[in-house]
Amino acid sequence: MTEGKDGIVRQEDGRCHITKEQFCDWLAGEMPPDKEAEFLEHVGNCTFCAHQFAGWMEAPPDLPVSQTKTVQEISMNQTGLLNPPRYLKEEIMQRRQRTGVQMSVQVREKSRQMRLFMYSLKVGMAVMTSIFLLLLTADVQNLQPQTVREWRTDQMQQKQEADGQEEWVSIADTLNQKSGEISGFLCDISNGLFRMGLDETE
Amino acid sequence: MESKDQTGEKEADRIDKEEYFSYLLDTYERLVYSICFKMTGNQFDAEDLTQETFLSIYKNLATFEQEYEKAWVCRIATNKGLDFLKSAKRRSEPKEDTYFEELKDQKASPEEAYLQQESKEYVYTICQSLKSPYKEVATEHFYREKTAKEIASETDKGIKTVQTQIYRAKAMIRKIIEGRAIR
Repeated sequence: MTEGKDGIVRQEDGRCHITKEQFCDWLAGEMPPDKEAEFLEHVGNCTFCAHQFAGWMEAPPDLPVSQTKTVQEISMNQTGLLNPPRYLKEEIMQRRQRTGVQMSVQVREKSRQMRLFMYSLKVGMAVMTSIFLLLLTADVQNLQPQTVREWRTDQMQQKQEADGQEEWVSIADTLNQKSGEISGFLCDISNGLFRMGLDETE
Repeated sequence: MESKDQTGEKEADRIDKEEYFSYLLDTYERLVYSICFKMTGNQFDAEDLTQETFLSIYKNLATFEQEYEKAWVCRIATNKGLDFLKSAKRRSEPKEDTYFEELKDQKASPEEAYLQQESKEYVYTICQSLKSPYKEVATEHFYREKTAKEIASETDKGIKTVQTQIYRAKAMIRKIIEGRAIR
């Protein structure tokens, strides 16, 4: 947020926040209807301006006498806020207890819980998919064509015969063996987690 | 099945929300009413908008950010007011043949109309223009600011009867206000 030379506070995206002068114009009823709609829409969408607006409503900035038009507005400017009718609070408390309002609250509450459930379900599905893919990869590594295996065995036997003593193991086979071990280990962990989950639900 | 702890937690949560709502109502009732009055220009619509605002607050308490409560309350009130202004504009959209006539009428005495609308006497005058028994009930309720319960006990009427009469009186008043706004 930056304050320009014209005194208007601007947001990072270039949009302007409301100014005290605009508020005074609005309070005095001197704002054109299209500007007023724009002004109020901004207050309705911007938390910063809504806070400013509320503060100015509570303690209005000084207005020129010519700008205070009406009896109510004069009293509003002097005391800050208007006093609502005495019965209003009671009516709000009564309306709040009506079935329609309570049902609406419950539906919102349920939909919030439902959203949470759906989110948990998505996370669970993602974990399951990743574990499944991991297991599948481990199986693919074991699914080598028979001929290749036989050829490798022959190669190894020939090499052993040539070298005479040491067992020769290729890098690919080492990787294959290790990844198999890791996937087995992960599989055990996931099975353990599933079992724990099942125990908790029981 | 819900355990006792969960039920207890829910009950505590509900009580907390009710208390918090009462606090919000106590703290921001004047602010919301003032915003609504400024936007509607009369007590009757300001009351309705204030009620709408607080009911909306009540319904959305679960997602409410307490850190910015004043701004949040103000935003809801402003948006309700904007909706009101838009629907009022739609209702009072002038027809072609009456457009220039209305323009002329509007220029006649806007300051006087404003003064009249915003004063307490305006409420009294409007209430007096209703037929009996709505006139009496409306005067007691809207002008003298008595609750339906108080009116019922003073007039020996059933509270439901008084509530119905207030409701109908309000509908009649709204028609009168809209009629004056269009004329």
